[in-house]
Amino acid sequence: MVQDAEGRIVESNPTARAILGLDAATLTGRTSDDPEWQTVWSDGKPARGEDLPSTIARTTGEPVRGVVIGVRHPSGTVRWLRVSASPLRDAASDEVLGAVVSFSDVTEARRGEQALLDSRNISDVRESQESAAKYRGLLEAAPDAMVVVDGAGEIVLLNAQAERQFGYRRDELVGQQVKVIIPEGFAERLIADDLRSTADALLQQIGMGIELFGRREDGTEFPIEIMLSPLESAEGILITAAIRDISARKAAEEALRVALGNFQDLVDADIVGVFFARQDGRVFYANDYFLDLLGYTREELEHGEVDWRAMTPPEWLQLTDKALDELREQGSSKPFEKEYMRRDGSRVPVFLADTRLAGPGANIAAFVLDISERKRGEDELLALNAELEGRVKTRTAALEAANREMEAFSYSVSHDLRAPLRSIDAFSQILLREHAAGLDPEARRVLDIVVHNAQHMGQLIDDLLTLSRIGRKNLDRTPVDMEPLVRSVVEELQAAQPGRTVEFDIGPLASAFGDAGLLRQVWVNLFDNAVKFTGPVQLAKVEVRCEPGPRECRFTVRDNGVGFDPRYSDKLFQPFQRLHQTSEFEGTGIGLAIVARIVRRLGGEVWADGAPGEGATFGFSLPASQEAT
Amino acid sequence: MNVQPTEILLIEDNPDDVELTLRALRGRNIANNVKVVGDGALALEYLWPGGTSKAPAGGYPKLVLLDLKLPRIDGLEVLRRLKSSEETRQIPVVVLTSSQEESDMVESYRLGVNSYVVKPVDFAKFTQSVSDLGLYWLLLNKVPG
Repeated sequence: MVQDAEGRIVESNPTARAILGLDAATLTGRTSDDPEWQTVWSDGKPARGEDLPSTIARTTGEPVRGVVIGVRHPSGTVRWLRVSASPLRDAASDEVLGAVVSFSDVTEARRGEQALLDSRNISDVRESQESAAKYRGLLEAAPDAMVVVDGAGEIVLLNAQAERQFGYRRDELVGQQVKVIIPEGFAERLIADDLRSTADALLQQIGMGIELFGRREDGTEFPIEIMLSPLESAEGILITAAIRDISARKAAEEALRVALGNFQDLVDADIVGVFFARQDGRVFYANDYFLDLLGYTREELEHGEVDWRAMTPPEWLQLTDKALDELREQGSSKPFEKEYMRRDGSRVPVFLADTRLAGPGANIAAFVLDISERKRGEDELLALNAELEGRVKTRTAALEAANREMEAFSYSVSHDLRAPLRSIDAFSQILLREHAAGLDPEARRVLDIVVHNAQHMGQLIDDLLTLSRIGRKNLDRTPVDMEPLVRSVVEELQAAQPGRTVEFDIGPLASAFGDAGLLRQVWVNLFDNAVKFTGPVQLAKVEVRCEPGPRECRFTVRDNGVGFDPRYSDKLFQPFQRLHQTSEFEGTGIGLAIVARIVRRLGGEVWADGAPGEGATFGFSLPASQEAT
Repeated sequence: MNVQPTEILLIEDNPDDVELTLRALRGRNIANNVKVVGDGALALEYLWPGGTSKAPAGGYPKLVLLDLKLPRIDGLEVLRRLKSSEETRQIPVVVLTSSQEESDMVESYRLGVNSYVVKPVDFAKFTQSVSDLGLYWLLLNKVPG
């Protein structure tokens, strides 16, 4: 409010009118001395016009600060105001023209004080046992450590909590400077200077939490928060300080600060991109990793030009929105891969994890990892695979073509080679039979050789065709019961060669996995072989054995025939390789090659053991089950 | 001209095989009247003179011996025509071939061949086979009608 030289109110602000409960029209023209206000001092005595701050400021030209005055409110209640007044001077003549009066409503604060100190006189606190006890009772009831200090910074009173907190006995502290327990920041606040009184200085601190350090008797310091409230007294102002040990809170804050620091360190380390953004796309925080990855500057970020939605290529929006739905429902999304468009339009593949930020707006925190390198590796692998597949296709096509050629070749061999052979054989025999009379013995001998060779060549062609057919045939793969198969082959063989006596010893044989028709061929060829090479032996013997295993079965055919030189055992299974002269043993040299080809196609191996004159053992393995193939 | 009914139609392009086949058949006195044609087209012309369903001059044969690998029209086609025509369906057809190809055998049986014989290289076996099958199909096998 502004008053004129006579103390009449000429101006008032809304706050002043609100506190006083009067409108501008009613206020204007009134004086501070108006009986309507029933002004009283804080001790309840009527405050006279000449002692009011505004009157003093006008009449003496000196400012008055922080005087508490009770004023009657139109509602009938008393409002306690803390009033300061300053003279208003003419700039030229320095003559006092009026006063500026400012005030605040301290009714609430005073009510608290009254509860604490129902006293008119501070001497009651100091001298009256009764009042002191009453006041101490109030202090002791307070949850915090309470210390009452006078204007000179001397401790007047304290409660048990304060004793405990600072480690002093009461009598050790009363009369001491408050600096003993609060070395800095408290006493300084009480000191009046030219501009303000202690009361005024204190006024600014009321209700504020001031963080300082307390010092215990043992010299250790701890963080405190103090709340100050003034106590008016005839002897001056006393200050009640509520002191709270905030070590725990400080420690928690420190832990949080460290944690936040760690997080910040992590973000600043730029090993992973971090950004905070709105769901509509606007990125409002990002670390350098993210900005560098996407090609934006920090200025562009600050100008709101970074938008994750705009950076997401259209084909990735659906996946991104799905992740956002997940985020809304569950608070975070499963990490996923997507692409961002850099500022220059290029794409960068990223691995992304979102989480919802606490607080309004449901903003997003996202962690972004550049996976270009990995993608490049994957792409290379894919390209390599595609190339390999292409090569396999080419190779397969080439093989198929070769196979077709082979088939055409076999066909013509089978058809075209056999016809002339048949003619050679047939007409030679016709000569021998029907024209024998006209032939001398030498001519007949030569014709016999022709017939023999034609027949041998016929056999060769048949064997060759069998061999080539095995390579092309589609294989059956079923369990084959070997023992009945072997016995039927042996019976057929013995029936076909009634002149030969060969003793077969067939051991228990496990079943194996393969093509029954081809396996029959294997046994036929092996037994043919055994029978042939035991020809010169008196008591020909053939042993058939089996050694079953979990993955494969090993079968052996052992004879007591002429054997072979083991140096050449690897040649045995190659077509047309013979270890004996044709004059000794007939044969095309293809039988064992057929055995080897069949066994290998069925997933097994062949081998041979032997020594000249000591018989031979031929063996082959077969998968024991489908899984083993 | 002495028109005796044709007993066997031999469809074979290899003259050696023709001679050997005829020898084998005569040796057992099976067929005195064998008509020989050297390719598939001639065979069809013989069976369906002028492309009509009129009977051949020598009448329908009682047995057809058919090679598969023939000039112009191959043996499988001849077989297909024989077995799909009303007037020839009943005639026994024996494929007599050098081919051991399984696919040829499978296809021949699919088309309705009565027998499939692979010509042995060995003359004795060959003679035996041809005369046996001639005997069987001409003398022993009974056909309806």
